[in-house]
Amino acid sequence: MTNDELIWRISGGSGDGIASTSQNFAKALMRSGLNVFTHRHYPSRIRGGHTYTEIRAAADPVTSRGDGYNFLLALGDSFARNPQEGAVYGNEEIKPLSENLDELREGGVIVYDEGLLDASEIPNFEERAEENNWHVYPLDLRGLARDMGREVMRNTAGVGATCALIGMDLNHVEDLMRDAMPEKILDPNLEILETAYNQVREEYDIDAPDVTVPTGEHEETQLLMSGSDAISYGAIDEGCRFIAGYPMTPWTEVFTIMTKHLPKIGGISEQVEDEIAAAALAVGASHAGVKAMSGSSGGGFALMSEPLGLAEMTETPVVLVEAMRAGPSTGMPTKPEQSDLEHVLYTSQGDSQRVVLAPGTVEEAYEQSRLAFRLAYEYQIPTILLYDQKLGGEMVNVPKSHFDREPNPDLGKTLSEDALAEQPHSEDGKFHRFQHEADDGVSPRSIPGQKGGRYLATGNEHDPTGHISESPDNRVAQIDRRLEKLEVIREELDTIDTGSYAGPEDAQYGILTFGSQQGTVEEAVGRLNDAGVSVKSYGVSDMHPFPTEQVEAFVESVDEVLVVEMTASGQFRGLVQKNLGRYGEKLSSLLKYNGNPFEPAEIVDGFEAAIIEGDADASTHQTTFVPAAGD
Amino acid sequence: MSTFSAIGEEREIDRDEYTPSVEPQPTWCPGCGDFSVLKALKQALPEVGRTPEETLLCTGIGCSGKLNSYLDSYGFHTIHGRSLPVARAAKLANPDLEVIAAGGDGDGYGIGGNHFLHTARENHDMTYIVFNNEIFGLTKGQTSPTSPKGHTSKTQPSGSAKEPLKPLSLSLNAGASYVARTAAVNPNQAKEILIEAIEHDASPTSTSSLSVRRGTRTRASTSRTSTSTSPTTTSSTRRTAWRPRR
Ligand SMILES: Cc1ncc(C[n+]2csc(CCOP(=O)(O)OP(=O)(O)O)c2C)c(N)n1
Ligand code: SF4
Ligand SMILES: [Mg+2]
Repeated sequence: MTNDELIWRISGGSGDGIASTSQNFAKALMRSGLNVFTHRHYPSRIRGGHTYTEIRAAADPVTSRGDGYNFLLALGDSFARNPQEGAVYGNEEIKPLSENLDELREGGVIVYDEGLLDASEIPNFEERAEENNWHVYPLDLRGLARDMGREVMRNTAGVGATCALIGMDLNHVEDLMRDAMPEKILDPNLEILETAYNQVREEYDIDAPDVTVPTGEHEETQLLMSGSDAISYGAIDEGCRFIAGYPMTPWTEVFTIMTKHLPKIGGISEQVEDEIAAAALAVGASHAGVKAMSGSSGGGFALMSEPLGLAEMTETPVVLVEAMRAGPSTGMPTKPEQSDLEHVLYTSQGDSQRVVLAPGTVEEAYEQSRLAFRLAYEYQIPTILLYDQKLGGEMVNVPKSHFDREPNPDLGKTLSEDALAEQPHSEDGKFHRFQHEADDGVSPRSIPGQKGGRYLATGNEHDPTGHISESPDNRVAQIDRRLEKLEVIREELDTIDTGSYAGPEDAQYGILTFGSQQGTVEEAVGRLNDAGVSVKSYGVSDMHPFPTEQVEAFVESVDEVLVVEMTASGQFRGLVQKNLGRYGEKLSSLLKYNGNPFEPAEIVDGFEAAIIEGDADASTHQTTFVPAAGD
Repeated sequence: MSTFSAIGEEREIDRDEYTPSVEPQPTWCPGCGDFSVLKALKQALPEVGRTPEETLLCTGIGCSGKLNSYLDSYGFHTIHGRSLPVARAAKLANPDLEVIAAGGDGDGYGIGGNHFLHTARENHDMTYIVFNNEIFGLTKGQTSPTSPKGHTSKTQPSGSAKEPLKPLSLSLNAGASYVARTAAVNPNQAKEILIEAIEHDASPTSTSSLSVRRGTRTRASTSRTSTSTSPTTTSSTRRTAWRPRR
């Protein structure tokens, strides 16, 4: 069997090193010249519970996970529980081999660790393998690893076997192991890798590999990077030197990456008592003149509501990141969803005065992390970067040159002491920090410790010096000025255009989406056009201020629009309609909220059923179709 | 980077520098103990040699939170219970600032109780002043965490069933290296305690390196520093008067 892509799934127990093994293998594939995209699935436990990662690798760019997979490396789960019959989780021991086995493509390869997994526990395993022409390799990976090193090194044996079966050289894998492993464990691992490779080649007499991976070549150096990496590096390049946080999945990744780097560059990372404190610390640090951020996931972000409002009212620049996961409440901690959109747009009292950006890809995550800081500091406004477990955790290759940009430590409209002296002051020397009339609505600020800059920042409505005021005229002037900033920001965003477009411009139909579903939608759009369906897509990133003009032009240009999002109530579609004020009859929804992101085929099928065939009941057991109003 | 020439400036400081010229005038009830705290702080700051522009006063919400409307310095009137996280971050960001946090007993021991414990635990080189009037003043006299057992109010009509919190031993327990209590009816002692508190040199146990040092501090003074938990100033009055409701 030959394939134009490899979708390699490694499965096993959470805590067994699946993540690091897959990350290294993805890097090896990338270095061999391929484009890669990873998708991971993990439980909310440190150890135990079934976990897997899929790596999709192809010569062409990959923007999404694929449908199913064509290579399964099933490892044992060292922490699998074996509860009584009738227990909710059931016997998890066999899961690495049995779960989603029906998604293994015809002609696919299975390598499993017969030292730990017993295929006879899976009903009709042999018949199914025969029917689907699966090539099955039971190997005693655990035994091999134990004999030559330690049992945990069976991952390495599995990678060696994989390389033998796909006809891939060991050199990239070996290089990466040399980079990543301490001396003590490097040698046995190298030995295990090679032995497994040779054993498979000899034992199975493989001349032509079962799944051949296409060869590709990169024109320039690539980096393997996740959305969480990209957000963190964007923040650092934009001069962020302070982070405060409290752990919560999946935001913890950004917190961890920042914490690893900040102290090395003179920055500060604080783990504090709760998320109210975390956001308040970011506000305090920014007030004192440092570029600062905090972040959390749904529940923690809920606690940040009041400090967020304080930043709005005091016009303190700050960036908050929100890594969405399925809610309400604790929800499903390790499962992605996009249903915090409305939460992030509207939480905190009063009229929202914030920017919300939702990047769609790893590259965009870097760009928009930088943009978030730039807007926050230039316009003295809290900016929220909204993403989810999917984008945060997926790894793709990005050209190294994407990051060749100037760092930007600029604090925005902050005055020097000389410039401060020229500014209006009260009789007693108080600086007018919040002037009614200001270019672009941005009244320049001073930093505590500066001579001539003394003022009061307060969450109460205030007059130009910062003093509490309930005068109606002042109130209107201040709120109008603060809101004016959003109009100016919209104009600036128009010149950047953070949107992502796919498909022919003159297409008959459209798909609208936001955030992390963008890549999957674009893959589906490609497939639909290949199948003769005329459709284009628009992945929107600016959630607030909303690109009303652009979205309106998109909706106007097509007959019908399917809005794709991971929410149960169609929050993004609601946002579109709220901003456009009409087109209810043109917009229908395809929703998914079962804890897994869309697969491209689900969008292709959903689009064909709902839009092309006009089936008003186009829902499946995984996805939900909501017809347009008046349909 | 900006310069901060207000920091470390050597000069005589007049306490009137801390007083707003015309407005705002204090709106506390006549005879309220908060006046004495304001006065004591205005006396203490010149004595420790800190000018209004190298001082950042962060307050919470309450009658006590109005403090920085009536004391001219850099100020941050935050939200109810959150003066401490804002203040300690500012101190981390610029260790050369004189950072003082202040608020009421409801603010610090009730809604902000978690921050109170953890800020004491981190023991930053800053001062925290609690105006303990054993009541929610601004919201018109409800029972607070330090109200005595049996204290009746409109929200606890049959009397508080709880023993009051013991904030001083709590903060000592949590790790604050200087803790003191004084009374608003004793303004001289209050001033002395404030000076001691501000000058106390706490050693922060925060995880971070204080490497974002900015501004130059020319004066060789390490003693003019302080602690997380400082004077708990008890107002002389428990009277509540009409206040706008927040
Ligand atoms: C989150 C929140 N909850 C409640 C309030 C209303 N509120 C304002 S001040 C206050 C209590 C003030 O008591 P205390 O902190 O002891 O200050 P005092 O007025 O006695 O100085 C309350 C409940 C608020 N502003 N914010
Ligand atoms: S209500 Fe109490 S604390 Fe508030 S100003 Fe009046 S006397 Fe002072
Ligand atoms: Mg009180």
